Amino acid sequence: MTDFAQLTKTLLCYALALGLLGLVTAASAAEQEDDFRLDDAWEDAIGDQEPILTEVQFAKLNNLAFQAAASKICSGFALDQDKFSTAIVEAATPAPEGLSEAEADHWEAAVLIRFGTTYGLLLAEGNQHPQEFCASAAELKADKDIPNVWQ
Amino acid sequence: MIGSVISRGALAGLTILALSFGLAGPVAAKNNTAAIVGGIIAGAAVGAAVSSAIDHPQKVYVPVPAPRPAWGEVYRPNPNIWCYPAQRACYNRAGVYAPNWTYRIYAR
Repeated sequence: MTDFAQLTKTLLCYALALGLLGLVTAASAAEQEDDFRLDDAWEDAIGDQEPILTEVQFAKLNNLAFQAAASKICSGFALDQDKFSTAIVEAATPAPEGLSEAEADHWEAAVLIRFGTTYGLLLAEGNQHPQEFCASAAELKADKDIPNVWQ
Repeated sequence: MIGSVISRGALAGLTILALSFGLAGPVAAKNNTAAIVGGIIAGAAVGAAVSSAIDHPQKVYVPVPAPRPAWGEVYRPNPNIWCYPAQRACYNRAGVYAPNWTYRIYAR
């Protein structure tokens, strides 16, 4: 085999190896971006949600639903009833102004349905992978800068 | 009922929530509920302005609501965290809900 042919063969081997490495890396990245989250269920449940709360309020409600789910799935994460009661009121405050009594009732129901939906989805995600879910709960409990409603 | 699924204490919390909303106070409003809620959240008070425009012509400026984030949109505050603006939630590398990052990015 000539030197040129040998060099060509070596370069082709390197190219093949790099190509395979690239495929593996791409597959790994795809897995990381779409592992345990129930993407389709979330979209079906809240993808067309009316903006009944602000972005901050939605996020607070999400975290409360997560903590409620963790209290069911993980040992050592019982809810503090007073903290939870206070936090869930705070998360939905202020209520929208200018609503009639009937409209305020509808809005209240919508908030409770949203909370229940989020709670259910997080229960589903957490029960699929309880070890990882509870590790995430432990991170929250250990972070003194972020409020939680566990005992 | 949502509360009974969680616990008695949680139910108490939701009851308090309901009571507090009940005290929000009735104010006259005649339009579709969803539209009113959305409009008020977005800061658009269209109805009152239009009703008074006949006798007192005036320019009415209505803030345009921020566009809803696309569902598939992802924000990466660091390489190990995936935040979903439409869900107002963040997840870690394994795809597990990350309450710490959800709080930092969306709840304060």
